[in-house]
Amino acid sequence: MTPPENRRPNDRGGWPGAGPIDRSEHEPTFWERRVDAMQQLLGRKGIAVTDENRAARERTISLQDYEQMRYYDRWLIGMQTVLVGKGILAEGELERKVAEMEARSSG
Amino acid sequence: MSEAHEHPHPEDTAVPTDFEKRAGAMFELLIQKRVFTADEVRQQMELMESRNPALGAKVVAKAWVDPAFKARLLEDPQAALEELGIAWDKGTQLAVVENTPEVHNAVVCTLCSCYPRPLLGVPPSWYKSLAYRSRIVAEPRDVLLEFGLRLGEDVEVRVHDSTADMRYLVLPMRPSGAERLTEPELAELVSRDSMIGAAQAAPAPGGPTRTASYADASVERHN
Amino acid sequence: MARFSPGDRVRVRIDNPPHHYRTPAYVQGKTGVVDKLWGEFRNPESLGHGGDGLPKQPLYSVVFEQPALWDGYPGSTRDKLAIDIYEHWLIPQGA
Repeated sequence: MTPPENRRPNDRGGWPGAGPIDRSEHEPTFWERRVDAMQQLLGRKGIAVTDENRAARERTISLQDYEQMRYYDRWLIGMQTVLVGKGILAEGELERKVAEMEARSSG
Repeated sequence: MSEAHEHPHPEDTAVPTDFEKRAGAMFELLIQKRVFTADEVRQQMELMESRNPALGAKVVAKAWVDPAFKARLLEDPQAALEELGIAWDKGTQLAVVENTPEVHNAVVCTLCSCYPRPLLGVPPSWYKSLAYRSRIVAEPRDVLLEFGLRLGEDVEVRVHDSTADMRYLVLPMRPSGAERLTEPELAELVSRDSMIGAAQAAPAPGGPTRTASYADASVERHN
Repeated sequence: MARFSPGDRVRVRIDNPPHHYRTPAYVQGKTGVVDKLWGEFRNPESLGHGGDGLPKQPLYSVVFEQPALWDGYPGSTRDKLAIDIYEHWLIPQGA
């Protein structure tokens, strides 16, 4: 079997060292549902298809990040990668917007 | 079941996390750039809320009481869903896998989190977890035991890895002693986990707690 | 025109292309049996990078015996793993 070091981080079938499954329920938060909805809308509008989103996550998220980031964190990274790649967002535009919104809320 | 909200609750944004800040910025940017409108996002969130395991349970309950519907469901799942006014999504295709005394099915997406969302809503966290994705294919019986489900040696455990455009719904076995229940009452016995294959349907009230149809199967009641 | 039919023995290619693909490592190099032809679908390897995914590729449900996939498989010898694989990843095997 291909050892993990030669695999893509998302290719988890049979990945060794997995422990017990955490079965606690986590109702998605408002913003998680909103990110999900935005992703679905991008698909429905033909802006980004599912495989582009998957490919973006596979390309841009390291193994360490993949194992530590939360699910919707990964989606947001993927969404940003795809939208920058398509020229809909500029490089760094999301980060500048975050800064602008923080300044707005503390101003 | 939470309702869709147009605006976040105050407690959601009291101390926004980094994720919430980035998500909020993404939302504002894409609205500014007219990629979509706030209304469209709200409607999409409402659509997502309307999709929950009760839909899948309704399909299962009907399959239990109506053998002709069950046959149509197994043959052409999306056409059968349309009979019930349930729309599937474009771009993926539904398959229904039937549990029998000989075969117990379980579903996973080892590569990401593919899930039959039009029937079950959003997947539970455990389904998306790295541990489930790793172990359900390699040691399914150990995983099912964690969920309280033990299956006999003579039952085939069949795991389906949704790697492409197919999405899988497990049709759990009808519990014994459920002959007198109405369709809605039967639907109450069909948990989300039973439609993923991590559980069986709940026993009928007053029916045997041991499922007669799996040899050596024991079931813990799960919600 | 689909190359394989239900009942055909097939082996999954071993490969790790640099682009997006949907064939997990744990089935690569393994031999199973075609269970179903689901139909033809756009190729995710092209879609992943902005392509149109055409021509559509036949997609099969391929079934593996679990003991053949995992050394020391901790379950019944009759357990199976069913997975959806695109035709271009499958190599015909003799009976």
